[in-house]
Parts: sequence; C-alpha cells; structure tokens
Amino acid sequence: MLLFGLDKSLTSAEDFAEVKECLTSPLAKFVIWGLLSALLYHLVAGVRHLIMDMGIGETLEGGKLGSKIVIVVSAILIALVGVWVW
Amino acid sequence: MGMVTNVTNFSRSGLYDWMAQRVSAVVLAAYVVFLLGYIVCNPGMGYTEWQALFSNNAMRIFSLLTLVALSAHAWVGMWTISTDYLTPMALGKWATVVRFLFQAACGIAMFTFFVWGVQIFWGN
Repeated sequence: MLLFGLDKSLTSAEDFAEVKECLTSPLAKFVIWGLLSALLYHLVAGVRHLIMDMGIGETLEGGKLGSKIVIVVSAILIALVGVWVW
Repeated sequence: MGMVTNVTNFSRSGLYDWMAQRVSAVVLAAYVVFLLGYIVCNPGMGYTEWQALFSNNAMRIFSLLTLVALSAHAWVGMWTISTDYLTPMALGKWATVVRFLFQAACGIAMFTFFVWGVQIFWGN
C-alpha cells in the first residue's frame, strides 16, 4: 500500500496531487494514523528491548517499569501523530 | 541441550537471528525517524521537493538498505511467530505444512517488496 503510494507519488506532479488528494479522506487518515500508531508502539517497545539487551531494566521491577514507560511514551506519540494527521 | 537442526530460519544459528533482528531494527528505526521527521519538518511539501528527496542517491541507497533490513527483520519476526503458534499442538499433523506455506508466503512477499522498491528508486 505504502509502496504503491510512493511509486505513484513519484511518477508525476499530477499523480503526486492525486495521492495527496486521496490521503485527505477521513478513512485514509484513519488508516494512516492506525498504521503510524502500530509502528510507533513497535518502535518504542523495540527500543526498550535494545536497552534491555544492554542489561538495563532486566529485573522484575525494571521490566515492569520499562513496560509502563513504553505505554506512556507510545500513548503520547500516538496522540501527537493523531493531531498531526488530522 | 542437543543442538536443534533447523533449516527454515535462513541463518546459521539463533544468535545470528538475534543479531540480524537487532541490527535491522536500528536501520529501520533510523529510517522511520528520518522520513517522518523530514515530512513533519516540511509541511506542505510539493512534488518537486518530494521527488528530489528520492532522486538523491544517498536516500535511494538508504531506502534500499531499509527494504533489506525490513525483509530480515520481518523474516526473523514472522519465523518466530510461526514457530511459536503454528505448532502440532495447535494444528495437529498439518502444522509443518501450514508453517512452511506461511513462511514461504512471507518470503515471497518480502522479495516482491524489495524488487518493487528497486524499481521505484531506479526503475524510471
């Protein structure tokens, strides 16, 4: 879907405008927001895993704290992206 | 623990998978942060600038590297999921066939996305 959009948006100015127009519909915005939300959560949780790989936050308490941080940070980013998309 | 011989995870060992997933994750994170940041910092970007971004060779190479990283990352991730859930316990005697088809589908999808990416960046 994203590759299709990228391919078309790079073809010509008209196609770029068409993609842009298509992305303004509420449904497209919702899909984009959903996709970005999943990506941002995965990214934040992934960074946490990389940190744990370095030996930080691997205890029971550290793990619990880490997951709470992931939830909070992800929620903030998802909200920001939501505002940006709409 | 005896060494488990495994032929479907495309790598020599679990450690190799572990490393491939981490390295690819860093590449993917860098690309996402860069591209999202670029778009957010350039509101109302038009075709000329968008097209210029992707005709810059460094960006093309970075994008292609990201597609490779995505394939590696997705492969290890989906392989892990399929070996966790598509099991004899869950599917009985058909588990191995279903798992193999699932992994083959993932592989074909990744190859297609990669080739498509090359065509987008260097095709026209």
